[in-house]
Amino acid sequence: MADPIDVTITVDDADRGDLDRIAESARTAGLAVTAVLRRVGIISGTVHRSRIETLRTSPGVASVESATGFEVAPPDSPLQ
Amino acid sequence: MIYDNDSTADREATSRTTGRHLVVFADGADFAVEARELRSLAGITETASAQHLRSQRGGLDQLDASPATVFDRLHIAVVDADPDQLTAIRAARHTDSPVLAVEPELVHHPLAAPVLTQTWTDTNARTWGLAATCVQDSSRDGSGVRVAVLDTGFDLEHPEFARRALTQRSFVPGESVQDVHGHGTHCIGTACGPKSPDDCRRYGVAHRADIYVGKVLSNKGSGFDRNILAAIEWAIDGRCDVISMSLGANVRSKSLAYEAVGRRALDAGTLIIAAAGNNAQRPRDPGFVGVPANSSTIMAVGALQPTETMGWFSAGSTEVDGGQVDIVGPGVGVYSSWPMPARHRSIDGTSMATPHVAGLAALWCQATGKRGRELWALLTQNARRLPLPSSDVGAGLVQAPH
Repeated sequence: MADPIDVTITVDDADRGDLDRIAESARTAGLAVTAVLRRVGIISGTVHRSRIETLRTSPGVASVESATGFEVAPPDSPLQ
Repeated sequence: MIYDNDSTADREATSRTTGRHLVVFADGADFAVEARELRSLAGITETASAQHLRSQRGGLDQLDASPATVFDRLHIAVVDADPDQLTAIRAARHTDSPVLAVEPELVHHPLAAPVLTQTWTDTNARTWGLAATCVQDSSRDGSGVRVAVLDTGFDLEHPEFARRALTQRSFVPGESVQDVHGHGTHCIGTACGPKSPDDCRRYGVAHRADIYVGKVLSNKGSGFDRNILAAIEWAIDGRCDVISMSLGANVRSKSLAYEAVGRRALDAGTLIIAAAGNNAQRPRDPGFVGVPANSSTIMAVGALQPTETMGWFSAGSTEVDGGQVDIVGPGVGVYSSWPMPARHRSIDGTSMATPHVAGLAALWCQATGKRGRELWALLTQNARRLPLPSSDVGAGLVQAPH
C-alpha cells in the first residue's frame, strides 16, 4: 500500500470550540494526528490516500489538503 | 476666477493671458440676446456663433478672426475689446443685463508630469530601503510591539543583537533556533535591526520591537505546513502583532488552510505578512503570487529595486481571490545581518521586501494602536503610490509614520 501523505485539515468555524472531538472523529476516519492547533483551528496529520474522501466528510472538517512544502534558496544564492 | 475688483483683472497683462476676454452670460441668454448685448454695450457688430462656424466648411478658421465669438452651449463669448469697451461690458454686470462676468482669456499649458519616482542608494548611514520608506524620518521604533519572524531561525550570537531580548522557539524537529542558513537572520535584521550598529550602516526598521524568532525552515531551508502553522499558533498565543513570513510555495491555487488561518489571525489582532514569491522572469513572465501570500487574509509583498521599478523576479498578481500583490517594499540589494563571521550581506528577494513591511507595520501599530485589519488598511492607505501597475505593486511603496 502507498505511504500515507501529510495533510492539513481546516476545521469549520462553527466547530473550533470542539477540536478534540473533531480530532477524535478524524482518527476514527484514519488520520494519524500530529498536531491540534486550537487558535488557528487546524489539525495536522498523515492519512492514506484511500481514506481522504471519508476524512473530508468527517464532522467539523471544512477541508482536507495535502500539506504544502516550502523551500528557500540555498544560502549562497543572491536571490532569496 | 470671477474678479470683483476690475483693476485686478486688468493687471493680468502678462504672458499668461492672450489680451482677449471671456464674457460670461446667464444661462437663459441665447445667441441673439448675447450678440445684442455686445452690440449695445460695446458697439461690437460682428459677433459670430461657434455653432454656426462649426457647421460651415473652414468655419473654425474664423474663430480667431471675429472680434467676438459666442460658444452657444456655454453662454460664453470670447471678445477682442479695447479698455473702454471692457469697461462698458463690465458695468453691465450690476444691472439686469445677462452679462455675469468678464475675465481675461488665459493661456493654458499641459501640466508637467509629477515626479513620482526616484533612485536610491545605500549610504554610510543607512540602507537605501530605510530612506525610500522614510524610516529615518520616523519618530517610531516599534517599542511595545511584538514582531514574529517565521524563518530559518536567527544567529543568536550576532553581536548587533547582543542586548536585544528575543523570544525564540524551534518548530523544526531535531534543530535548534540557531540559524545556520542565514535567511532568517537577514530578515530579522531588516524587520528589527538596531538603530546604530557599530561600524556599519543602519539596516533595520523597528529597532525596539520585541522579536519573536520562530524557526519553521530547517538549516537547509525547507519546511512544511505543520511547522509553519504551529508557529503561527505560537505567535498568536504570544500576542504578536505582526507575523513576517518570507517563504512561499510556487502553487498558484489558494490553500484553504492558510486562508482560514490568516482570517483567524486577523480576528485575533495579528497581521500576517508574506512574500509574494520570486517566480517571475520579468519582463517576459510576471510570475504569480503563491501560497500562502495568495490568501486574501494574508498581506502579499512584492519587491522593488532602488530605481523604484519591479525586481525582475517579483511575482505579479493572479486572478485568484487573494492572489493580488498588496504592497511593495525594498527588495533588491538589501543589506542586513547575516550569521557570523560574515556579519552582513546584501541580497535580493521578495523575502527581503517582506520584513520591511513587517517592521513598518510595527511602527504603525506603535503610532496608532491599530492591529489586524485596521493595521493592514493603514499600511496600504499610507503607501506611496507608484506609476506602475497595481497588479505589480498593489498600493505602492510602504511608508513609515512620522
